[in-house]
This record gives sequence, structure tokens and C-alpha cells, in this order.
Amino acid sequence: MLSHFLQWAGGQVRVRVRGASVERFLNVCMRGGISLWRIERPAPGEITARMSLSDFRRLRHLMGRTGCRVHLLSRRGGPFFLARVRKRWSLTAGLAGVAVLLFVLSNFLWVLEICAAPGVPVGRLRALLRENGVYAGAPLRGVDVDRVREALQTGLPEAGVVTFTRIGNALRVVADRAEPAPSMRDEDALTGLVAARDGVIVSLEVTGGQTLVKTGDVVTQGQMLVSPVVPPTREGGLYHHSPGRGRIMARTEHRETVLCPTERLEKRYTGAQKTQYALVLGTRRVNLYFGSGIAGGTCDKIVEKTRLSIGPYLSLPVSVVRQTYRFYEPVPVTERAETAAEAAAGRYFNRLAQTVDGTVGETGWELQEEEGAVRLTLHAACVEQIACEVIDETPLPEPEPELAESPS
Amino acid sequence: MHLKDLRQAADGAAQTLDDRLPRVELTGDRRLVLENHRGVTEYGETLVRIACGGSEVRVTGTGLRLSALSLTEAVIEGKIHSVELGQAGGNEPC
Repeated sequence: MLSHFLQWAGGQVRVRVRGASVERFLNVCMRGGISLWRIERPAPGEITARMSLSDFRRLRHLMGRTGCRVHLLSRRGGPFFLARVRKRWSLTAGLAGVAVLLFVLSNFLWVLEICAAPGVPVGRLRALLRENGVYAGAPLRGVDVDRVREALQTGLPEAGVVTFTRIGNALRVVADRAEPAPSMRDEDALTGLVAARDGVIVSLEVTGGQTLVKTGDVVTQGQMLVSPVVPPTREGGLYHHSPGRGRIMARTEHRETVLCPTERLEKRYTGAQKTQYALVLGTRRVNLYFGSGIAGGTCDKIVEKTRLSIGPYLSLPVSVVRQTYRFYEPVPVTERAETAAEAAAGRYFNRLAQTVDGTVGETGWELQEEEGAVRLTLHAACVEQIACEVIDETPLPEPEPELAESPS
Repeated sequence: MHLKDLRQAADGAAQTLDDRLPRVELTGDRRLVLENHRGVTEYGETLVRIACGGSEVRVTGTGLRLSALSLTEAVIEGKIHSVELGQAGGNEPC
């Protein structure tokens, strides 16, 4: 883009060359250091080409050697533009002023976009950025990304990786959430496995401890399934401790009762609409309407903000805000009990499938209609992991004393 | 192969690749860039001949045009059918 601008600024001409040997013309230009581009051949013995203004001036001295006639077709660029406007001083001064203003504005940060992951306090992040010289209207040369990143690491522990992406005078800050330190597992702690809920054992994968149940057993919530006290495996052996580890799958049943309303309010748009405009210059807002931005009645307010920019790299400190109000009337709607029940049941079973550590099998519900609502009893059969670690410091049993030999 | 032999082979290859030799870069069948040329011998819509010292590059195709020409580079665009490198023809660039 810069090279195109420089080419235009120096001035270009388009010429038509006619002669018996246009190749001679091309070679004379080439040897004379004159560059040509967009060379086209509309007819035999004729070519059109573009060259810079300075090269065209040098071509005049080489014309006698080319054996061709050269006609000027068009000219464009900075010198010709200035020649056209040289008598219009106010226009020239205005254009120069605008150019200077744009250059000055391009040295300031006008767009600051902050994207923070859930859990990262945006207000504190914005305050820390401002303290370290990152805010809309700040000079770009004062933005030290490394220093800001260090300040965020110490002042915002909730944020993990923070990335800064600058395009022209727009800066995008993306803050990820810091990963919490994983809880350390005490491998030496004596733990057993108990049932987290009632169920029927389906399968066991025990890797430590003594299994106290088997497949098909009915267990209740809190019942010990794997004990850390392991009995001796040979005659004369001793009891020893082994932390209970493993996964135990069981068939369980989930039940829940919910109350779902069948009457609700629905938006019915009237077709009435109102639009207001405002200008944001830097950090100041100028409303282009009378009154307040709070519309009476029930309506949806849609705000669109468009920032003015020149190309992708120069954002201006001017934004146009458009506020659209779409008015509606709340209309009471009565839903069929079955429809409300289906929607509520779907939400419950989806949530259950995401939370249970296993699979959700057969599901069902019963509904009972009440005044303006429906009482829904939901049940689901699941196969899930129910083993839960608990600290168990049961002491080892005392070894049985050896019987003394009877005297013969 | 010993390290000394490898080094000698690399030095020899570097000496043979003279920067002044003509270089042709072809992009698909649409664009050809020729560096280190000696001038245009013939320029037509179906045939462009460019001299390169003791040899010549012949480009045949349809709709050929010299989109750029400078002391060191020539760019030919159009539908290129073939590119030949051969001995310089009867006509030298004028």
C-alpha cells in the first residue's frame, strides 16, 4: 500500500507508442533504466505502457534512438494534483490540515477492546490497565505491553494468560482465567470408599483396599464399599493398610418434583419503532436527540455502535451510536400442560446427563395439573459411579496370640 | 562421505550458481518472471522472445503481454503454453 502511494505521489503517465519496432523502444527504455509496467499491445506495432513522471522526462532524451512516436494518453499523481489545486489555497490548506490531524490522531490509542473470561473481574482489569497507561486516548508510545503484563500478573491473580494484539491504533486485550492449583492428593492417607447414593452394584474396578461388596449387592448411601484394612492373605500373615481406590458402578434412581407454570407473558410487537442517534467524540457523548434515552412503555432497546476508521489501521476517536426502540405489548399466553411438562422434563434430563458420572437410561414423568401450573414428578434410572473417598483410620486388628504348646 | 568432501561439494555448487545467469520463475501458466535478461527480441501476442546473453527464452501462448519491464526483470502474463530455453536466434535485440 505504501509503495503504491509513493508511486502515485511521484506522478505517473500512460503513453502510447507506435512504430515499426516497438521492441527497439522497449530495449532502449530498459537500457536507459526506464521501468515500464502494464504494457499492453492493442494492435501490431503499437503498445501502451505506464511509467513514472521522472522516467518520462528522461525518455525525451532517448526518443531519437527509439524510432517510434510516443503520445501521452493520461497523467495522474501528486504533481498533477498539486498543479490543479495550487490556486485553491483554502482547499489545499484544509487538506493539509486534515492530513496533519489524521497523523496526530494515529499516534493515540482510540479503540481498547477487553475480552475477559468468566471469573476475571473486568472492572479491576480495566482499572489496572488505566493505571499502567492503557486507556482510550492514551499515547501509543507510552503503551509498554511488557510492563502492563507484569502489573496484571501481580495485581490480578484471577487472570491467567493475558494477550495484547495491536492493529494500528486499536488494542485488543484478552484475559484468560487462571487455572486453580490442583489439590494435592495425600497418597499415604487412609481412605475408604463409601456409596454416594443408594443403588445396586453393577461392576467394580477396585485398585486398592479390601472390597466389601460384590456385583448385585444392594447398597445404601454411606455404606462402606472398600475398606483400607486388608486382611492377611496367608496363614500367619498380618493385617495391613491399603488406601481404598477404584470405581464402582451401580444402578441408581433419581427422582425430582418440579412445579412448572403454564401461564406466561409473551411479547407481541406493535410495529411502532423509534430511532435515536448520538456521537461519541473521544470519551464525550453528544446526543443528537432531545429528551432522555429511556423510552416509556415496554420495548426492546437495541444499541449499535459504529466506530469510524480509515482503512484497517487507523481508527478515529469518533463513533456513531444508533439506539432503536421496538415497542411491544405483553400478552398472557396459556400453555398446554403436556407442552410445559415436556419442556421441563427435557431440561431436567439434559442437566442430569451432564452431571451424572455415567449414563442415563430409562426416564419418565407423571404430571398433575394445578391452578396455573403443573406439578411434575420426574424419575430416571442411571448407571453411574457411586464410590466416594472418605478418610478411614480404622486401626488394624490385634494379632491373635499364639497358643502355648501343651506339655507332653 | 567425509566432512571435507561435503564442504568441497558445497563450495563448488556455490561457484556454479552465478548471480548473473538468467533466472526464470513460472507461476502456473499465467505469469513468468525473467531476471538478468538482455532485452526483448520479439514481442507478440502469441510469441515473446527475450535474449539472455548467449541464450534466448521463448515463451509461447495466447494473450501474452509484457506487464513489466526493467533493466533486470521482465514479467510476462497471459496464457502460457510453453517456455523454451535455447540458443539465441538470428535476430539480436535491437
